[in-house]
Amino acid sequence: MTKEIIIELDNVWKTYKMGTVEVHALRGMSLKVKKGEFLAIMGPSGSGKSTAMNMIGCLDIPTKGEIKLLGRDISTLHESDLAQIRGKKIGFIFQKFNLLNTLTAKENIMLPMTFQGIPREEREKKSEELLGLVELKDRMDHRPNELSGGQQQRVAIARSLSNSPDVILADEPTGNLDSTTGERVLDFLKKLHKEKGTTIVMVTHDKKIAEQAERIEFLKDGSIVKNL
Amino acid sequence: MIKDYFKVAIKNIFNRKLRSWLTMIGIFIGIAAVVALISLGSGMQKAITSQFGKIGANRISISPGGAIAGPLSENLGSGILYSSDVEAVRNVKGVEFATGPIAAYVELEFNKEIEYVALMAFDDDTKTLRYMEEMGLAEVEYGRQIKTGATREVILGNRIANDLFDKPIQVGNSIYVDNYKFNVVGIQKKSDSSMFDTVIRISKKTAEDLFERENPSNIFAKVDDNYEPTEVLGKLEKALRKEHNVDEGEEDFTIEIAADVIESFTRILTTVQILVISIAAISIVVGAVGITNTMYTAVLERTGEIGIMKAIGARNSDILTIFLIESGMLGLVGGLIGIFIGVGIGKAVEVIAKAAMNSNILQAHFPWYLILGSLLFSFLLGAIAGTMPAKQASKMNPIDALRYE
Ligand SMILES: Nc1ncnc2c1ncn2[C@@H]1O[C@H](COP(=O)(O)OP(=O)(O)OP(=O)(O)O)[C@@H](O)[C@H]1O
Ligand SMILES: [Mg+2]
Repeated sequence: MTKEIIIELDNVWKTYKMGTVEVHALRGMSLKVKKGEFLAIMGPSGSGKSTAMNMIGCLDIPTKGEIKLLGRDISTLHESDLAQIRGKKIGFIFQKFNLLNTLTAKENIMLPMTFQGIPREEREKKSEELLGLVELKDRMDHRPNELSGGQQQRVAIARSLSNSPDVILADEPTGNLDSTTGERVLDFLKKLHKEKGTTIVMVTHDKKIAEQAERIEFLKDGSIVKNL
Repeated sequence: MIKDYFKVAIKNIFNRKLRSWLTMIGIFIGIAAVVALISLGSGMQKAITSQFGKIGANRISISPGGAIAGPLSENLGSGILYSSDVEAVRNVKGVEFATGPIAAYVELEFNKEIEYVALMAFDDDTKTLRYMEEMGLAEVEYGRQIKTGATREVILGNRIANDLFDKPIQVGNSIYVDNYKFNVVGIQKKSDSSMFDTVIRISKKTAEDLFERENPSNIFAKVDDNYEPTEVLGKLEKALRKEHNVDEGEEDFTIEIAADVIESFTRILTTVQILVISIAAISIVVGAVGITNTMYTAVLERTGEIGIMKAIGARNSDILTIFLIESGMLGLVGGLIGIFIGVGIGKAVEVIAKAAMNSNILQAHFPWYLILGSLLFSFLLGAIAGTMPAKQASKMNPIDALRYE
């Protein structure tokens, strides 16, 4: 039984103009991700991995080509629609954790739900549940600067799950962590994938990390290659 | 949801550095000035009209000399008013009524104690009495007014009766005025102006007979309602010039009309108000620019946060709302501090005025609409001042914002 395709990139180009110079971050990248898949993307620095992730995550639109998310072409959508998709269908995990320093762990997890207009009680319940999932319930009132890198990344994982997204996009989630902590964070992602069947796309430099995914794709100079 | 945005905004405000607060001094000053001004302004207006309103717009006061003199000042200036002047004033067409009280300093003896006080003597007919009462110069609290034709009756100013001598003087007591025995028949009500609380009052006839005084210290006149006060004023001037045999511009008397005094005071008040409002307006503009400035800084400092919020689903309108609320709250806090300062200034002026004038006619009022209006105004001001930075924040490209270091 062939599973439904959840992400589809078809000959996607992304060109940045720096004055008169044009930088082609993506040159005709094509990729298909099936629902429930755990995909790792590897590639040298500057090969366009983050650019691709941002585009899948509706943070940016391609210069050329088509991106389909859940069967819907996103390359022509309006700002507020893109924001809606980011909020409801996508969960981001960044290398730099990207938590809001003024908010506590719990509040950080609640914030995406706030943007979706979810009532307070429900937000509190869900965020505490997610804190339990990443085993940080005892740290829920701590601010990011009172947490270790690994703990911060687990809060970020919990946050990415708050609106029960269809896809988790993790751009080098272990990049700022030592290997043991990185393994721990990865375990949570694997657990998520296994237990909830969430689709995960993860960018990494680390071959050992990548090998734990179901499939690895290689990106070089803005397009998918067989191997590096 | 707006409630949650308020929470985020308040968090951000508490995380601000001191320096960003300093740029808001303009708001403090502006709002403080407005609150103090408005709270005192109505009090001041009231004080002026209550002081001068008693005299009434159709009342004329003539004093000797070229300078302004009160009803109790002695004839230090070059001019003297004569009792014949009162007659002359009465004869002017349009003058309904005129009276010329006599004023003097006298020795007052009570219970073997001697004090020197001002004496005022005016006609004891009911018309004069009513006129003086209307001016607030002859209201009796205890006892009664001097009977028409009575010779040795005296009425005491409130402070003379209560404070001047070791023992308070009461109605029915006897006192000596320049060694003549008088019977105290009444004690005046405490007046708005302490000057009239230290005066004793006898009938004009008695003053003329006993103290051989006849020249009035002032002449008070009332214009008939059917005549234009300023026209009558002109005729009066002419009549008195003739009486005193002086040319125009060389008058040894001053004629004042209450309407003029009220007007000039109101003009001064308006000038002060315009001045304070201008200062307030400038301060508020400076404060608003300060808010705009710190909000631009905040947007720059929080570029990364804006990117994060967008990545987790914030729409442009959400970011706009958050930043507008934050700048509105900044304005609100500025306004709140300004209100505290303004109320402080208002109260301080009230206390100082009370001490200086020995009366509490100048009251600072803080009506709820002033406080609420100031708060609302400062919030809106902050929000407006933050509009441009908030727009900039909301339009930020999420990727650029996330990459910003
Ligand atoms: N906003 C931008 N403006 C201009 N050039 C950009 C922008 N974003 C990316 N680039 C360029 O596009 C190319 C791809 O960048 P990208 O960040 O996608 O690489 P990456 O594979 O994620 O690299 P790394 O492993 O170092 O994170 C690079 O040459 C980068 O300089
Ligand atoms: Mg990258």
